[in-house]
Amino acid sequence: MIAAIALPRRPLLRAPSVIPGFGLTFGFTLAWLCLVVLIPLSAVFIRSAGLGFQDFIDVGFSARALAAYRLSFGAAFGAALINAVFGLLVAWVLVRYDFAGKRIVNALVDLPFALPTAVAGIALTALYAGNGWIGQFLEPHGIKVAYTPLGVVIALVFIGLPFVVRSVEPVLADVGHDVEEAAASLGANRWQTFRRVILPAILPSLLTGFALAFARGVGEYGSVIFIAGNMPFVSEIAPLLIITQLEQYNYAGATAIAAVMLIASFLLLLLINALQIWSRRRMAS
Amino acid sequence: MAATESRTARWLLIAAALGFLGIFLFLPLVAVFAEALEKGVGAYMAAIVEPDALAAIRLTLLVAAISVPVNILFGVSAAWAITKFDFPGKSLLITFIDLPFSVSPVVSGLIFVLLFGAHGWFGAWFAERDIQIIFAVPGIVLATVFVTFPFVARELIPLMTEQGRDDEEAALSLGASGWQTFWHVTLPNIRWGLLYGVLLCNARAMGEFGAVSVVSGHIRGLTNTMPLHVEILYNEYNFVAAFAVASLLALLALVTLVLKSIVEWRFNYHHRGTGH
Amino acid sequence: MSIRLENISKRFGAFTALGDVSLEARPGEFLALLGPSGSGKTTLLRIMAGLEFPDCGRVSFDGEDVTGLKVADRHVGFVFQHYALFRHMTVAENIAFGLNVRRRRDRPTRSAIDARVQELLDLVQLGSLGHRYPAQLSGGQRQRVALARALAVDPKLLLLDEPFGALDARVRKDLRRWLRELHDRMGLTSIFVTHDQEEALELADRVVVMDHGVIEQVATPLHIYNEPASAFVFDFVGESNRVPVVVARGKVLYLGQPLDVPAIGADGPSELFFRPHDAEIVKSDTGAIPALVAQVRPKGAGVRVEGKFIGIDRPFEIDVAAEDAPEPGRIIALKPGHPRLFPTHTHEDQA
Repeated sequence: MIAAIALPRRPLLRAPSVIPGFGLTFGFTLAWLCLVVLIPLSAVFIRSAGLGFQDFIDVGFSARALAAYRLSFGAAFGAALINAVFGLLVAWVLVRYDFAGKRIVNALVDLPFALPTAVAGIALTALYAGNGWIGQFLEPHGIKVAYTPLGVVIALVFIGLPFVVRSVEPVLADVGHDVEEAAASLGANRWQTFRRVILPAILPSLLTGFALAFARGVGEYGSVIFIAGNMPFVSEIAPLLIITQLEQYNYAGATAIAAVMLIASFLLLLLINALQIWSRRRMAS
Repeated sequence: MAATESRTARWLLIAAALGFLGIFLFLPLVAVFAEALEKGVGAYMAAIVEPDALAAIRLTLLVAAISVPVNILFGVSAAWAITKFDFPGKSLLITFIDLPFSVSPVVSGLIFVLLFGAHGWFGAWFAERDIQIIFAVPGIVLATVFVTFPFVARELIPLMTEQGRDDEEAALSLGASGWQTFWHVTLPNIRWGLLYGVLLCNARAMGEFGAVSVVSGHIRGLTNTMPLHVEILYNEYNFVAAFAVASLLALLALVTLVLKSIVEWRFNYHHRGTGH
Repeated sequence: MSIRLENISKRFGAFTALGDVSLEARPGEFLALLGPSGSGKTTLLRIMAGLEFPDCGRVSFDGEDVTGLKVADRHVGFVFQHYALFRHMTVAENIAFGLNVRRRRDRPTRSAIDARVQELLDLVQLGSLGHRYPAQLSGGQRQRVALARALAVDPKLLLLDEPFGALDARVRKDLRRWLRELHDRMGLTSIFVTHDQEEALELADRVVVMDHGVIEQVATPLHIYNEPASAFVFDFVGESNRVPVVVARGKVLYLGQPLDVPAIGADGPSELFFRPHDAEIVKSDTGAIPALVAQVRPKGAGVRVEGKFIGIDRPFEIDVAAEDAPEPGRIIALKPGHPRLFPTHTHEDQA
């Protein structure tokens, strides 16, 4: 066998390619990623590690912190559940039916992505306060929304809705009408078709949307603090507790709580990645 | 068609969906403008041209003007490296790029306090040189770059993966250089996706609250962005002024949604994926 | 221009795309790389273009080593399978691209470029469509634009990846003839990749049959069809019938009975191949293969008879004159004409 003569040097990291620019773009990407994201994030863990185990547990899992986690995770879970139901409904209506103003409604679904959270926060508070447009009807029935945990759920429903709608929409559009017609031709009624044919097909994407909404809700700050009331042990969310600690120059407390939140976020991210892989596999087959 | 709902069922489903959207999305949007104009146009205008408000608007524009181009540069570069080449660890890299989306905004601000704050790793070093990062504009920019980090990249990566490498290879086979290929072939191919990513990135950059709130220090007229200014006004029970400034941000959101929809309809651009 | 490949190997991870391939194309030759998907034909073409680099081996153009040269420096014309036309450019801008990206001192003047573009548009018979965008063209028209764009830089070597793959049958046939004429007129060396044996046999001067990353045979279309070098080539090029036999002591045994065919080949288990139009229905069943007729359909001037060989569960198809057509359900005796014997498992041995 003749030895290769003027072969280009085989790159170390990657498959060879004629397209130029790998070194430049990969190098820049990696450097910038480390500088802006990875090194700063690692600061939380390194500083937490400096606390020592007992101190970390004491501040990271104090009674007040536990109450805050309970509220953040509980409200996010409740809001994600509500969004799973209504997000699916909205996606269904947008994919399956035609009606006047559909395009505007479709654009409006993304409002929570585009509207600054603080604006959403004060607007929701104005609506649900005792004298607000909605609050005035709820208050006489003894339902208080603003400045209670219920207000937190309302804010997180607002923030999380598009995650579910936009996750489910493409998959729902992909479930062909022919499959439904096949089910109908086999004698299934409309509800059976939905439950046994459509729902299993969109379930991975629905769970993905749920998890995305949940993950966002756990860390949400801007839209919540105005409507939450922020009473320690009652309506204080975990991100707010971090800020409170910071304002009292309690860096250790803030860092420990942040570390707990970060670990929770990473676990959720792993879950979401797994769900998306499952969802893609479902769609491909 | 045989396999569809009855008229009544369809009507009920549409009504339920629209009712839900009306209460949860449309009403808050209307409330912003209604509250802002409660005391008339005069009070509204006065709140906006007030010096601290103008300073906040200027700062918000400045922060966006820095962080958006930085993220375009990063996003295009990352997408090029990831989609035009094969290397091990690619999906891990994509996961890392997505990380900021899953971090709470407050934590996103905190990490820069831990690095550059008075008690931070590099705090003393910068303090000696009289460079202030936390409670100053650089900190706000850093936190904003962090929270908007994935927007452009995650829009471009699926798009460029789908487009493949044929066009670039064709251009190279015709003798084009790498830069010529990028400017004349790749960039026109990805322009709508890029614009889409930039729109969302910009909306978040101008509207970010939690992360910026941690690093800003809330100094009126100096380190207050528009969302922070809204918060201060609101906490002072100056509701009309708070909602007036908020209405500008709501307008920004509406313009973003309109432009985004135009990119989707007019240029038939299909946004892929979720999760902002 | 001549092109020479010596001992080319290429792996993608654990997959061997090419295993020690050598090949030469003479100046002015029209060469077809034929094989199923995964046979390595496209990889070989991309290595010639400089779009892919071999793990080892050598590529030379006119005796000059170009192994390390990238595509931009090889001056070859490459037509992509899905054309890779630049969607945001008009047809004329697409064709002019290769000239417009040249350095200023090498670049023709604007008017010279315009003239060249018009000349190429006329050449590919799209004279008046220069202002259109690729999306406004039919598949066949896009194909011709891709060709004109590749020719604009005056390549001496034209490489085409499945040039007719995305077209419907009728357009394909027209374009084939047209491409052959163009090749002859321009005096190019052209190499194209295809999985369609009919296309390869009809168009090329020589056909390179590939499978599993190795070349099975290089020969003229006639030679490939009549003298296939391996079981794979026989099977892949043209229609075939195959039966398992044993070659022993100068005889070919089918299920223990000798067949009336010459025993050319080594002793041992073998596969006997013959073409549908080379078979004959005979009266006596000694020395012939018994078969059960299932269907008779018209084909060309005669009929095609289909069914199964008796004793082994394999289908057969033969072409006979209409008056010789047997009834479905009948058992017939088949005598293979121009049969070829290949030892069993040839293929696995090579791979």
